[in-house]
Amino acid sequence: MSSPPPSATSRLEQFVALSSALTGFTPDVLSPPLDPTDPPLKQLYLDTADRHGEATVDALLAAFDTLRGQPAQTIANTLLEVDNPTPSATALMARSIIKLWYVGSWYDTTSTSATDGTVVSMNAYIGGLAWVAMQAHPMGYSELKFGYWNAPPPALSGTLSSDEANHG
Amino acid sequence: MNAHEDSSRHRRAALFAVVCVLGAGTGGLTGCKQAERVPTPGSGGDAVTEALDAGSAPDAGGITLSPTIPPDVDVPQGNPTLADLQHDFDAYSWNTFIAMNWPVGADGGVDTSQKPGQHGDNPTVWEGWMPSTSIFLPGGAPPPAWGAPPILPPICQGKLQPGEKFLTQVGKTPGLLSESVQPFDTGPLIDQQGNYTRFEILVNKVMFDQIVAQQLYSKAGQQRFNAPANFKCGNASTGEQGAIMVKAAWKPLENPADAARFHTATALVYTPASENPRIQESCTKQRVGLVGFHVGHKTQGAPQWIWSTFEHVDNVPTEEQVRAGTLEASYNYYDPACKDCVVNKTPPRPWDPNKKIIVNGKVFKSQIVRVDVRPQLMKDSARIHNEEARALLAAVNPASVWTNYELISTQWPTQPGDCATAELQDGSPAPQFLANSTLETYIQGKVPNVSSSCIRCHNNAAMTTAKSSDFTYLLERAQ
Repeated sequence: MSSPPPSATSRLEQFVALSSALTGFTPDVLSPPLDPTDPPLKQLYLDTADRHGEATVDALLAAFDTLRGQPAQTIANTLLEVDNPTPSATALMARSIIKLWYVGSWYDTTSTSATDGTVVSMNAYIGGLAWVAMQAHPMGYSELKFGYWNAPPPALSGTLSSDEANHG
Repeated sequence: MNAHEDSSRHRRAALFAVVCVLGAGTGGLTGCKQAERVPTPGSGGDAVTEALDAGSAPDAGGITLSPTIPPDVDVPQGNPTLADLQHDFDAYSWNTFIAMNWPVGADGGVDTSQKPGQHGDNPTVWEGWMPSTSIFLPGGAPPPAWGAPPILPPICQGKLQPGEKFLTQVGKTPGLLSESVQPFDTGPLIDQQGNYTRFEILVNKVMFDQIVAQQLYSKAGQQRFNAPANFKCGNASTGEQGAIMVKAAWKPLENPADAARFHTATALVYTPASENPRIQESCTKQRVGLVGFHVGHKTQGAPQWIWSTFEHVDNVPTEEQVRAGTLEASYNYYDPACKDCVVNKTPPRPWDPNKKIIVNGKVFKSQIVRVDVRPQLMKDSARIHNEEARALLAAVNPASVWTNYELISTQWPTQPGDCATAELQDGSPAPQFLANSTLETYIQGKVPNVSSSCIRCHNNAAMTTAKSSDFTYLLERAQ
């Protein structure tokens, strides 16, 4: 007998845990305990991925579940099939989810272009992890104080998972 | 543990009271919870006791009729959710509104023998605070002592009677008149009688004293200070207020009968002269009604300040109400009968407040609708607290003008940080966007960095030295 489908909340939590392993950012960065963004990016991104292949997302989450407890880098390498020249649909979905978190755009799973992504929302654009990783801010949008350019950028400490932090 | 839990834990050392609310009339905020109240000077700590005695106790973190401005938000929940905290901040906002609009006696002090609106309308606490026009003076002159009458231009001198206020006007004159362009430089706000809305900004004594002590009222003083501003935070443990700013919007009341629905004042309305457009200097006495009320309070729990925004209930319909056709007969800034009026559009130039704007033979009136982008939980929280506050105020006097004001929402930081730290980042405000239709009329919406967000906008404020001014644009007015 198959197990019952996970509840919506646990599936969302699972998606956040998966996303943390794939992006290197802590779950608290991806899913702040108090998140005023409406809708929260985690929900927006899961919905976006589901629209492009809910069954593939389910398969990816199931594969992630079997890897729990392993180092994040191992999980990411396995799910992305980094040594496979013809990655599976779940690996391609994982790649698109990484791009979604980093640049706020959905790239079709079969896309190899850097320019055919679609920005999924204004909040996705300003919430892209690429800005944080670069210690910069989106063009036209900054949460930093006036004159911030005269000081070192904010530290990345506290935003990365322990694996990533250890790797500098 | 987040900062809100932390601040809540500190407050837990304060007075505890168990408040069981079993009756109706609290907008669904029923149940039996543990309520915390900080004993503060005056009757703040007595409010719960009084309410219990009266059998009308609000829910935990609820609204009370008290003349004490809350020193900080009260967070009774152990592990609060976003919805819990919005509830707490909205209750804080109404408690602040009630305390700031508490009646004052002839000496300007709080009159504890009265309650707000007991006699319909009343002079208020905040109207005795220091207007920005008396703080940032030509040449960087020191401000007068707290409580001094407003500093008037020569044309107005001798015209101001005790108890009257001084409002500046829309115009090109920079510096001390700039609050007259509050709807954000994109144009004035004109009511349904064709009159310009007036604006003022005032600060409490805590903020005024710090500006004076640190000489932040002048460019020279700011250069000597040579550091980011860091205003005092309200502290629930001590009951002390933090720095508070209030922005108020007023509309002229041409028809005396309209006054019954507003908090009113008699004001000297000053229009400075201008060359382009050519505007004649004037100073006239007008009866005005309060239409917008926006308070910022810096506290330990919210060092990015708590931003509470209220409006008169007759101001504008929402976009949804317009679409559904569920409109009232009239509004302060919307004409239901006008089918071809363009909404949220700035008035045609030239803008001369001494004259009504005539377009195709008709007096121009702003056609404003609320672009309501609040998440549902914020809408629900505001509605529940408005109902609760209205019931409390109507119990004092069903004809109280204060029942005609509503909270739009409260913006607060979800990641507040430490008050002692200058130059805090914006703290990820909730709700993400918030606009008052009288104060941010033309920048409503949900475009990041473009649409109105109190904290995100004020996060960019700096002094004349380019150092952070701690979420206030007032300090850039220093001369």
